[in-house]
Parts: sequence; C-alpha cells; structure tokens
Amino acid sequence: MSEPRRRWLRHLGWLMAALVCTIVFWPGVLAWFQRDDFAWLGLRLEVWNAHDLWRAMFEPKAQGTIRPWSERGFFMLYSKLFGLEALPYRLTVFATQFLALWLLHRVAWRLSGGNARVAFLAPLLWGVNASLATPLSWTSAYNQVMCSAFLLGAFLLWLRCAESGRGRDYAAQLAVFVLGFGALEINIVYPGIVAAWCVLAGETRRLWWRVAPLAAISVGYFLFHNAVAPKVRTGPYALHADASMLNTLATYWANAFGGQLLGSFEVPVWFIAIGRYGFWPLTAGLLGFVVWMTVRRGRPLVLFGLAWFAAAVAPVLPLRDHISDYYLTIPSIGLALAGGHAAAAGGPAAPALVAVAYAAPSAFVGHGSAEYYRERSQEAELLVFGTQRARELHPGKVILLTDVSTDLYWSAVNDKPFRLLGLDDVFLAPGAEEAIVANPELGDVGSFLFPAGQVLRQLDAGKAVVYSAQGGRLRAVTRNYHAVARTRFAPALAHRINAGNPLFADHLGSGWYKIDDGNRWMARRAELWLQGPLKLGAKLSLTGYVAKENLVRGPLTLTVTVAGHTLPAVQVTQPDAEFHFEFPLPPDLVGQPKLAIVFELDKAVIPPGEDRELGLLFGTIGIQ
Amino acid sequence: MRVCKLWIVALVAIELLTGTLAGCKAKRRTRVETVEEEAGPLASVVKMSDPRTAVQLVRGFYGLEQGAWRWTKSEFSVTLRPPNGSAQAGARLEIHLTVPEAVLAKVGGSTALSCTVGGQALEPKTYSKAGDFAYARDVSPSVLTADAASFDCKVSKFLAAGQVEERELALIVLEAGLVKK
Repeated sequence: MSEPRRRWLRHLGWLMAALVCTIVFWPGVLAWFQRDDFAWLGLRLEVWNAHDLWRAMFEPKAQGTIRPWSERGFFMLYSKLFGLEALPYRLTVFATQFLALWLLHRVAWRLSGGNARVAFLAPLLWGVNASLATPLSWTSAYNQVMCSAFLLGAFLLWLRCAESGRGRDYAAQLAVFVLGFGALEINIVYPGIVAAWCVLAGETRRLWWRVAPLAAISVGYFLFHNAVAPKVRTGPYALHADASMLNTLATYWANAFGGQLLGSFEVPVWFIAIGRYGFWPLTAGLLGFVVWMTVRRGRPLVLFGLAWFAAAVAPVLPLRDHISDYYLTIPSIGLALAGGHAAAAGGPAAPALVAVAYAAPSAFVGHGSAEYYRERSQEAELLVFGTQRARELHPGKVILLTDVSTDLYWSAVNDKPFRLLGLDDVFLAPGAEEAIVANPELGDVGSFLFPAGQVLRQLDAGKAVVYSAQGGRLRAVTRNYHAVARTRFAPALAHRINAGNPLFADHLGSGWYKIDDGNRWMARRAELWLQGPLKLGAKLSLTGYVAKENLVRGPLTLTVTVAGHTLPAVQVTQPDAEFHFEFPLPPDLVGQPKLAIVFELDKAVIPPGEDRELGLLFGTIGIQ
Repeated sequence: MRVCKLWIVALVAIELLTGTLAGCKAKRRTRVETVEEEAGPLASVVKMSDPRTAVQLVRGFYGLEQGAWRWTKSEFSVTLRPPNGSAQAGARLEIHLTVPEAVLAKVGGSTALSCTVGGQALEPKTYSKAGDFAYARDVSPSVLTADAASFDCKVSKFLAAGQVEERELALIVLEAGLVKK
C-alpha cells in the first residue's frame, strides 16, 4: 500500500470515530444551557476591573476548583461573544472532542507499533462510550473533554520525546501538561500515566529523570489544592479512603462499559440483559488477552490501557457516595485503548462481541442520555425566553411562575438564569414549591418563592402576572391563579424579604434609606417586620455588604432585637466584603404573625461626599 | 512539530468556526412566544394533563407523568368551580384515581381517601385492592355558594419520603371534578 493511501486510511479511522461520535451524541450539539451553566454565564457580570477578572479566572471556587480554561475563561469569553446562543459553545465542545479522538488515534497508533486496526478501533470505542453523554451535552462538563485532550496531547508528545529524545518535545509535553491543570484537576494523574508507560515499556531506567519533574509538579498541585479546597467530612463529597474504594472501583468498571443504565429505557429485556451483564465476557476476554500477551508473548505494554483507566479513576474512588458516570470520561480512554488492542488481535469473533456487548448498549445509553440533556435544556430555554417575552408583555409587573417541575426548577431556575437577561422580579408563585422535590445540596426552593401572604395584594392591584410552565411554552394563568389564591392565601407578612426590592418596602420601618442598586442602606438603627417562624429551630438570616468606609472607626457591633428578645451581638470586621449572619430564634416566636425586628450598630459613619449616616448595606433578611 | 502544527490548525479551526457564528448574537433569536390567557372562569373538572387548569391543583400534586397523571402526596388540595345550579342542588365530587399495587403492598394492604370542603367532611373510602377507582361523593349546596370551592384530601396510608424514593407518594390521580348530580 502506498504511503499516501496508508496515511489517508489512518485519517479515515479518526474521521470514522468522529462521525460515529457525532451521530451518537448528536442531541448534545442541539442542547441549550442548564444548571451550573447559568452560574458560569453570569460570572462575567461580576467582573468590573482587572482585579475582578483575575479573581473570576483564578480564585478557587467550591471544592477548590479553578479550571480557568474549561469553565471560567471559556464561559466568560463565549458569553461575551455569543451571549445565550448555545450553538458556538456546543460546537467548540465537539471540536475539542474531535481533537481528543484524533490524539487518541495517534496515541493508539504509536502504542501498538503502527497497528492500523488498533488505531482505528481505540477512538471508535471511546467515541461511543456512554460516559461521554454528559460532557458532550452539558456545557459545564466541558472540562472533561478538554482535560482528555490535554492528557492525550501531553502523552502523545511524551511518546515522541521518548522516541526522539529531543528536549523540545519534552518541553512541549511539559507545557501541555501544566496547561492541563487549567482544564481539570484530574490532570494530576498524568505523571502516573507516564510512569506506568515507562514501567510497561521497560524505559524506567532511561527516562525516570524525565518523569520526576512531572511528579513534582503534580505533588505541588496536590498540596496547593489541598490547601485551598474546603475539607468535606460529611455528605456526598466526603472522602472515604477505605475498603469501600474497591466497591467503587468495581462499580466504575462495570459502568465503564456503558450498558448498566439500559434498564432506564424502554427496550427489550434481552437488550437490558446484554447491557447489564455484557461486561462480564468483555472483562474476561480483556483480562485473558492482556495476561496472554504479557506472559506468553512478553508484551506487557498491552496493560497500559488498564493502567490509564486505574490512574484516571483513582482520584474519584474515595467519593463513595458520589458516583457519577461522567467521571468515567477520561478513564474510559484507557478502556478503549485496551479494548482496541484486544479486539484487533482477537480474531473475527472479538469485534463482533465488542459490537454487541459494548458498542450497541453503550451507544444506546449515550444517545438516550444526551437526548435527556437536550430535552431538559430546551425546556429551560423555553422557560427563560418565555419569561423574557412575558416581561415584554407586562413591563413593571412581578412575574410569578407556577407548574414548574422538579427537573425544570433544578435545571433552569435554581441557578438564576433570569439575571442574564436583566429580568428582575421573577419568582415562583406560592404553591408552586409543592411540586418541586427539595434538594438541599443544590439550593433552597424557598429563596425563589414569592411570599404567600403578599401575593393577593399584588394580584388585586394588577401588579403581578402568573405563568404556568407546564407543557413547554409559558401559559398565562393569572386570572385562574388569582381565583384560587383568594381561597388559599390570607394576607400576611413575608418570612423573607430583599431589602432592596420595592415590593417589600412596607415591611420596613424607620432607619432605612432609599434603594441603592438592588440593596438598601440602614442608618445606625433600623427596624422592620417579618412573619414569625413556622417551626422550632428557625434562624434569622442576614446578608449584605460592608464597605471599608464603614469601618474607619473600627469594627462594628451589630445587635439584633426580635420581638423584644435581644440576640447575641455580632462583630462586623471584614471591609469591602459581603457578610452573612445567622441568629437562632427563641421558640416562643413560632407562629407569631408579626415580629418587630430592630438592628442597631454601636456606631455609624458619614463617609466623605455623603450627607447620610450609613450603617450596613442589606440584601436579604429572612427567617428560615 | 507536526503535532504542534495540528494543534494550531485545530484551534484556528475552532476559532473560525465559532467566529463565523459570532453573528448569531447580533441576529435576534427566534422569539419564544407565550400563550396568553383565554377568557373564562375556573374549570369544574380538572384533567391532570390540561395545562390550562393545572393552576387549580393547589397543593400536594407532583409533576405530570406520561402526559396523563400525577402522583399525590398524602395530603392534596384542588380548587374547582361549582357547576351552575349547585348552590341550590349541590354537586358531586369525582376523583378518578389509581391505587398502585406498589403502595398497597407496602402499607399493609389498604388505604383510605377522605376529603373536606368548606369545613364539611365527605365520607372516606377505603381501598383494599389495587386498580383504577372513582372516589365519588355528594357535596351539599351550602358549601358551593362561591365561585370556587377548595377540596382538601387526605390519604390514610402512603409511602413516606425515602421509603421507596425521595418523594412522599400516596395515589395516582388522573382527573378531579365537580359535576352536577
């Protein structure tokens, strides 16, 4: 075969993988935004200067994540360029996936010593893996795809460096590796992958000194991450470094074959059985192949795919209570490498077994999961742009949303997408919370709920409209909701107010200034009224902001009095920062219709250029 | 070096691809229209699948499933418009429901549904086998004089939240209505 033709066939292998991957995960191309996407899309709104930009890009977030390329920078740049038009984001994710498939194709080619069948099969097997469904359908999971590309790119350069011994290949590899930390923390496993290759290829003595700096970088990153990440001891993100890791590994291994979720789809029982149990013969065949190749043929390098899987899955094994299929995106590259080797060497029966027991169930689950993401995101799109249209039709009115399903709430409302379109005064209608299953890990439905005791007043005055989200497009139901509300909601004070929202102005007494950009300053002393808690154990929660000018005379002491009970005073010490205080409430306040609440500071200042004595700037004040 | 070039080519391709789409932002996206309100009073009969009347399911109903039915909690409420003449002749409350085998098997073999309206209790009904049923009870005219009547219903035995899934599950309801006697 001529060299150009050989090269063309090699590219054909990669193109085939890209094509099949696109077909399987096509719904991901059409998906809109959901959940965390809205928080990332809103990040740009918090950037006002270079310092803000630096913080937005690099300051560690929840769980100590940074990810400037795959999340923060990506969303900030694209939201600047494309706003809420999802297609460019989605195409970029797929383009990166194609790049990763090409890199895998090249890695498989080199690892197999130029075996075209292995180089053809490895990207194809990875490209249909069900674990890709989430990263290829949900933009917030782009980090998995980008990190795959960084790891594969670095490793391909490593292989070139090992072959050529050239310093520039090593330097390029090092640069790609270091940049990979900006995609995802899992990048930390790269030295382990390289070390495994050195051991299996018998290159340890020759190349250990080139692995050592990589390991040092990963150790340094680990120490840094450990220092900035919060220590989680309870809940799903708690780490369990014990025997349960073996169970978690077994679960991930079975799930990596993609068919375990077939039972969630309406498919014949025999197909579910293939999906659920097909990984057993595949595992047996794979292990038999690697043992035979290692022991009988003296080619331990075939173990490399399994080593990649083990290295890439290792960091998530302690997360016993948080098993997520998309964590398999990067480990499944190893499975595809090992599977590609085995299928290429196993005679005609092997590809057939792989197609029936792996590719078909995995692709089916992957496509179905991508379709689920697409549908959910498009429901979110209808809700968000429907609300925008409702605002156009009813300027100045409060928009209340009802019939919001649990899925729709957590995928489209909880992460505050409306602010991205400048839509304020959008709430859940009282009663709508009934249909939403609580999920304290993700948020508090109550924070989005319009107070039941206030809704009639707004409706009676024609200052609110109600839209039902059932059935896709928003449907105005104001008249019927109003009729129902009359039978259900007696006028009452709210449990929670936003001090900067004029809707709640009648809850405020003396000592408050006019609204200031969605918040409200208090003087040295201010009073307000809220409805008492509904149950024991409630807390009064205050959030707001304190400027450095307010602290020029030293820390402020805030004393809160609720219905005559003086609560323990708190100190406000941090300048130019948000504050959040919680005060446990006495039990006798439960059920009281009106609580008089007084905030009093030990001092207040009149900042330069002001003629007002300013205390604290308040956002939300609520009993929860 | 060839790898580096390909990386650059790939990145440039991404930028070109997305760059050509930059115009998307400038174009006004397809408007998502809302369905504005049709004139009309509350409905006397509420089908779970009808988005126009979903607002009358005021409490204790979960989201629509398979376009036809909803799970309820152990307590649920629905507001209905009394049909013409019911202030004089009364009306009949009919709730078309399914008692799931999965519930009965876990709550000891039977469960009962009872409803109240305007302080008046309607006779409970006990279900000791799974299947489709209609809970039908006469409602006296004295509580049907307004434009809307709120029915508060309770199921005696149900699956507590966390017992099978995270939701509290009691009955499956397809339709609730107030019809002429």
